[in-house]
Amino acid sequence: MSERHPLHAGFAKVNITPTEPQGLNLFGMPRQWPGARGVLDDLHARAMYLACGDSKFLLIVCDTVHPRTTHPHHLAVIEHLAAYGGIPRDRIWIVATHCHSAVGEEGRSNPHLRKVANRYRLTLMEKLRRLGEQVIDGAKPAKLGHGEAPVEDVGTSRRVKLDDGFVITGWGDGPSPPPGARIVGRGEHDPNVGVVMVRGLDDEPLGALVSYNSHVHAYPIVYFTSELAGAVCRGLERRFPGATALHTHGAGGDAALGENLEPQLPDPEAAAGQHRRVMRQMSRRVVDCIEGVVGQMRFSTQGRLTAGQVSPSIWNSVDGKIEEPIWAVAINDVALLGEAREMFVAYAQGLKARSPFRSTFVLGLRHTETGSGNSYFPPDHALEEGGYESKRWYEPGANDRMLDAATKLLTRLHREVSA
Amino acid sequence: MSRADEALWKRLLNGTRDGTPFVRADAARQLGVLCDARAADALAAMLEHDHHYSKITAVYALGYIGGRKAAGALRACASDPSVFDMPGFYNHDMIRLAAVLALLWNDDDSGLERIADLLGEDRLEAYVHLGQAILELPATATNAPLRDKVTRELLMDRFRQENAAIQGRVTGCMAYFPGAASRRFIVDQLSHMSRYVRAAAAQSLLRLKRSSANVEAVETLLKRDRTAFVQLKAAALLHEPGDPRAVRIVRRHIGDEDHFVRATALDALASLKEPVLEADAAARLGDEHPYVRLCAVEALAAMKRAPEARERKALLRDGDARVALAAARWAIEAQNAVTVAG
Repeated sequence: MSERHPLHAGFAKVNITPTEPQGLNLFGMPRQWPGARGVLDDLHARAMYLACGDSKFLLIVCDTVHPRTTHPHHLAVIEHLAAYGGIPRDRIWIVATHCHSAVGEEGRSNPHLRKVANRYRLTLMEKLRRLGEQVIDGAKPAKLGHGEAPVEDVGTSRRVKLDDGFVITGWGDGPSPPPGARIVGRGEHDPNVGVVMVRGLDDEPLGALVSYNSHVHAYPIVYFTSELAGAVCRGLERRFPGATALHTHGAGGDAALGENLEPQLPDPEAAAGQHRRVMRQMSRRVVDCIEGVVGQMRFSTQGRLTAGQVSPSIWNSVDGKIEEPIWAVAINDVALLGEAREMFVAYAQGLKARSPFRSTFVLGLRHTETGSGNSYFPPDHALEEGGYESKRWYEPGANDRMLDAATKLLTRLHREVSA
Repeated sequence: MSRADEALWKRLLNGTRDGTPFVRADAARQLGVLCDARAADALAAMLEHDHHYSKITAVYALGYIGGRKAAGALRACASDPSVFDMPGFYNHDMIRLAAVLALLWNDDDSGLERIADLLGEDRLEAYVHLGQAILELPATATNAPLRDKVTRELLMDRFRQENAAIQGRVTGCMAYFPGAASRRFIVDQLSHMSRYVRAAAAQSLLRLKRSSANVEAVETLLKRDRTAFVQLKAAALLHEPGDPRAVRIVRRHIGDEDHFVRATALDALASLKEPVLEADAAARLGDEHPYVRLCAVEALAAMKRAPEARERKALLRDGDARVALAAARWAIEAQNAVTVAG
C-alpha cells in the first residue's frame, strides 16, 4: 500500500523545431505533397515529473504524430532516465500530441534530406534526455488539482453516417456521399477538456496537463506547426505565467476539430494565415474553459502515487493475437490511462463512467516497447460502419474487453491510493 | 407562383447558405429532388466556396437539374480551382469526379478532359465510392473513359480486404458485372461481419439478377439474420405489393429504441408504398429524434401523400432545420402535383 507523501513536481519544455526545415517531409500529409516550406510556429517536447516519496512518474509529450516516428531511439532515452531518476521504465511515458505538421519519416529519395532528418532525430533524442533530467532535477514541493468542463465548437466527430449504414470521413482520400445518399449525422463527441494543474506551495503555477478527446490537426499545411496543441499550450503559458503546459491527444481516433472550419485557401501563404487565425480562436476557447476549471479546483499538497499495467490478449487482422498494453498512473483521485492506440471517444466516455476516480483522462498514442501499436482501435459498431479508421479488423467485443481490463486496473489502483 | 409557394422556395434557397454544412447539404439534396432550374444559381454558388459534404451534394443536384447554368458551374468544378492543386485533399478528387459524372448525366463529356490527371493516375478509391453511379452510366463511347476505370478486377483484387464501407461499395458495384464470379463474390458478402455489407449484398444480388436462386439467397438471409437493418432491407427488397410480411417487419421496428432503426424502417416503408402504412409514417412526424422526423416526411412524400395543413404548419416550424427543409420540399411537390392535376 503506498503512503501519503508530500508531492514534488517538475515541469519543463524544449524547442524541437527542425533547424533545417526546408523540404523535409511533414508527417501526416500525403507522401505526394511537397516538403515543408518553413516553420509557422515552433514544435516542442514538454515534460511533467511527479513524485510522492519514492513513487515517481515522468511524462514526456512530443509534438509528433505518434511515438513510432522516434522508435527505437527513445527507448535508450527511457533507459537513461529510468537509471538517472530511479524511475521504473513503465512509469516513463512518451506520448504524442498527434500533431500532423511535425517531422515525419523521410521517405524521399533525396539523400540530403534523409541526412537532415536523421540528424534531427538524433538531436531530438539528446534534447529529450536533457529535458527528462531537467524536470527530475528541478522538482520542488507542489500541490495538485484537477477537473474538467465542456468547451463548445472546438471538437466534433469526424465520422459521418449515411442512410445505408456506412460511414464517411470526407477528408484526405476518404469517401464522400454517393449520389442520392442522405446524411444521418455525426458520431459521438466528448466536448470536455480535462486538466491537471500543479502549483508551487507559494501558489505559483508550475504546470498543467491538458487532456482532450479530440484531434489537434485542422488543415493540411506546408509548414511545421504544433497545431492546436501548441496554440493551447502557448495560451495557457500566457494565462498562467511560469507554468509549462502539456497537451495530450486523449482518445480522439474518431474526432476532428470543429465542423465549421472554413475551407482551405488555395494559396499556401493565405492558408497558413487562416490556420494561425483558426488556431488562435479555438485555443482561446479551450484556455478560457481551463481557466474556469482551475478557478474551481481544490489543491492537495500530499499524495499517493501508484501505477500499473494490464495487457488483454486481443486479435486484430494485422497483428493477429497480441497483448494490448494499457498503462495507468493514479495520484490521489485522478487517473491517467495510457493507450498505445488511437482509441475512440466512446471508449474514453465509457471509461469515465466506470472509473472509480473523480477524474480519469485517457492519454492516447503512448510509446510501446516494440514500436508498433500506434493505430486506430475502433469499437464494434465502427467496424460495421467502415470508414478510414476501421481498416484494421478487431475481434468482436475487443473494445469492451479493453474497457473491462482498463476498469479493473483503475479499480485496483483506486484501492491503493484511497486506503 | 403564390406567395406561400414563394416562401417555401425561398426557405430552400436560404438553406444553401445556412451556417451548418449538413443543413446546406440537405438544402442542395432537396433542391436536386425538385429538379427546378431556378435553383441553379444558388447551387452553383455552393461550388465556389463550401464544405465538401455540401459541395458534392450541390454537384449532384446541379447534375439532376442540368441546363446551361448548371453545366458551366460543373465544368469549372471539374477543374476545382478553389483548393490546393494537391492530390488527396479534402475530397479534391471526389468532387471533381462527381462534377464530371454529373455532366455525363446530361450527355456532356466536356468534363472528361479536365480530369485527365485522375484518369491517368492511381486514385482508385474515388472510383470505388462513386463506382455504382459510374457503372449506371449507359455503356457508350462517351462514357467509356470513366466506365472503364471501374473494372471487376480492380474491385475484386485491390479492394477485397478493406473496411466495411468500401466493401459495401464494392459489393454494390459487382451487380453491374454479370457472371458467376460476381455472384460468388456477392454471395460471400451475405455472411460479412457488417450488417450494412450484408444488406448491400442482398441488394446487389437481386440487382445482378432477380433469379429464383438469388431470391432464395436473400430469403435465407432474411430468415437467418436477426439484425433490424438487414431484416428491413431484405424484406423491402423481396416485397411484392399486398404481401403482409414486409409490413409486419416494418411495424416491428418502426418504434425501436434506436433512432437509426426507426429511420431505416421509414425508408423501407417508403419503398413498399403500401397505403396501409401511411398512418405509421405520419405518427413518426412527431418522433423525438429529428432524423426520424426527416425520414417520416420523406417517406410520406415518396408515397405521394400531401401534407395536411396542421402537419405542414408544424413541420415548417420544426426546430431542426433539416426537417423544415424536407417539409418545404414536400409542400412544394404536393402543390406541384395539384397544379399538374388541375
